[in-house]
Amino acid sequence: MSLGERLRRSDPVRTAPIRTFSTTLRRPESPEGAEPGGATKPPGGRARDGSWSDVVAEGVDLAYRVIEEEIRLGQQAAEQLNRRSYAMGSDMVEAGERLVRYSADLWISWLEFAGSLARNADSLRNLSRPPEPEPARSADATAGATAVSIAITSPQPARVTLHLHPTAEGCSLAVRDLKAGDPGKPALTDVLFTPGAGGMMDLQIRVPQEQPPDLYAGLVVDQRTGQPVGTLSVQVGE
Amino acid sequence: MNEPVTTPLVAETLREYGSLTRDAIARYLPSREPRRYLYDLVADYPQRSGKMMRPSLCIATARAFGARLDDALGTAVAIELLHNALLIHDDIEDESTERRGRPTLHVLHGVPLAINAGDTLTLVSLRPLIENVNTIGPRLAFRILEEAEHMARESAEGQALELGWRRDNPMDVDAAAYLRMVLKKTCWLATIFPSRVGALIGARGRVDLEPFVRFGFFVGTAFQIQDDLLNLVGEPQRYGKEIEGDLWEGKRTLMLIHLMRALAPDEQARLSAMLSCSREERAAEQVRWVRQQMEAHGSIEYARQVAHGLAGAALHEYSLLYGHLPDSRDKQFIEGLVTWVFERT
Repeated sequence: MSLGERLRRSDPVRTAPIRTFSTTLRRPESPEGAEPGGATKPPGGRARDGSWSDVVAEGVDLAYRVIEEEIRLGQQAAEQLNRRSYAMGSDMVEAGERLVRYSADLWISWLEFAGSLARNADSLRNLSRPPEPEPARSADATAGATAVSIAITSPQPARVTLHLHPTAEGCSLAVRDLKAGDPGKPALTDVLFTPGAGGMMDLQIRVPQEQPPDLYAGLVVDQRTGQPVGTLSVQVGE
Repeated sequence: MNEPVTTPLVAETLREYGSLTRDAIARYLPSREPRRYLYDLVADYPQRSGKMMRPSLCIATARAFGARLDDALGTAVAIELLHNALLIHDDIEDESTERRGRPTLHVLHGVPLAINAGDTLTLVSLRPLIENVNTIGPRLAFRILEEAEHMARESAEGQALELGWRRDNPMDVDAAAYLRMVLKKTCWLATIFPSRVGALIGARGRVDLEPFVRFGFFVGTAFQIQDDLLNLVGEPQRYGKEIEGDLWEGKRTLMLIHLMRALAPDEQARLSAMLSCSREERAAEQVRWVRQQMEAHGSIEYARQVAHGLAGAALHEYSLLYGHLPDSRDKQFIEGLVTWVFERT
């Protein structure tokens, strides 16, 4: 036996049967009684007046407690999974944001390229991956797309590019500060996603008077999980 | 509960969606060699006439949320195939002798071949989920695969609990433990998963799935308790399984848990001794005694009342989940399923 190992006494031999049946449908703190004949009174059984209403109420109450506990445990497990998958160190976050800044222009080029492909039917036919079909009818008018209404206030000319990954659908969006390619320039901080009318998201951007011209970019994340779901860039000036 | 209105609709919808699913299943069942030792066995259970509740619930939920039937059909096929695969293994584990009115697969072909057929059917059930990429796109298809993996794990955990209880014969299994076991073993595959993936398909992923766990739990548990009741009081011809088979197997049911609490100490000891025996060691007289005690102590009526209460809770959750959706036949079917659970004989 190693020094670190704990000494344990073996479990004692049971000398009497376990009799916990009587707590089956009753909260632990509830009082309980025994039938005169020695039999355990079945709690949750038929009431003395012959009605079954207590059985139904207690059964449903217990079932709700069980399912709420299971859902809570499931949520905890899901949160842990999300944290494990997406919890990046600050260096990694920084590196990710830098990557986004440098690739923002590439996204614009990519979107232009995709647009030209869409206009060219022959090229589209060569794509091997079939497009996702639209539902024939939908209970939710915004289903299948994330609609964003953008309002920008800027004393200088500004161009906004928002790219959302399909996983952004249904997410509560948030955006980190938009940083310039030049680390010496101040970030754009007045950028806010809020829930809008009809299931849309509103994006408000305010560019201060003194903001130096540059391309400002940052990650769009799912507020709940912190998972990146897109990018936002604002070209100020020029 | 509006039984007279819903029953024909539920039966009709089960027939329609069941038939569509069965036709689609045929496309996934291999018709090549080795037939005698594998593919004939793989096709056996799916070709027997099941209730088709699981695939029908998936299709109806998807349509109620706005999907096309074709978008949900592949997932419905996968659900039914996996259900049948698990039935093959369950029948071996439970030592059951009848399934859907005929001898179980292992009785017909022996345990090794039946296990292999069950494994193969599990793999076959993956194909329609993979092919979902072509109908609903890669993102939703992957999401459904993730849901399927979760559901399969829950089902395995539930089955392990029940088998473990039977092996170790614990006498302190209470109703809460029973409900947790049913949630995992029955509800995830029977009602929660079909509802969740149906809603995902219909709403294109934009839906909160948590409430479907509650709805599926209440419907599924009412379904399971009713199934356990039918095992005691059902008509042998229509039930399709061995009547009183659960008593022979020592399966923990709500009736048995109630009886354990209701018996006097000496009778509890007698019941415990009987439950600690293997199926082969149990005598018909012992099974008869347990059945009589259940009648005498109101255990059967007790379980029936709890099941009715859970159905009421299911209808409440239904109104929260589906109340905002436009009225449709599919919506009515889902509501009707809650009461249909009790109309099975």
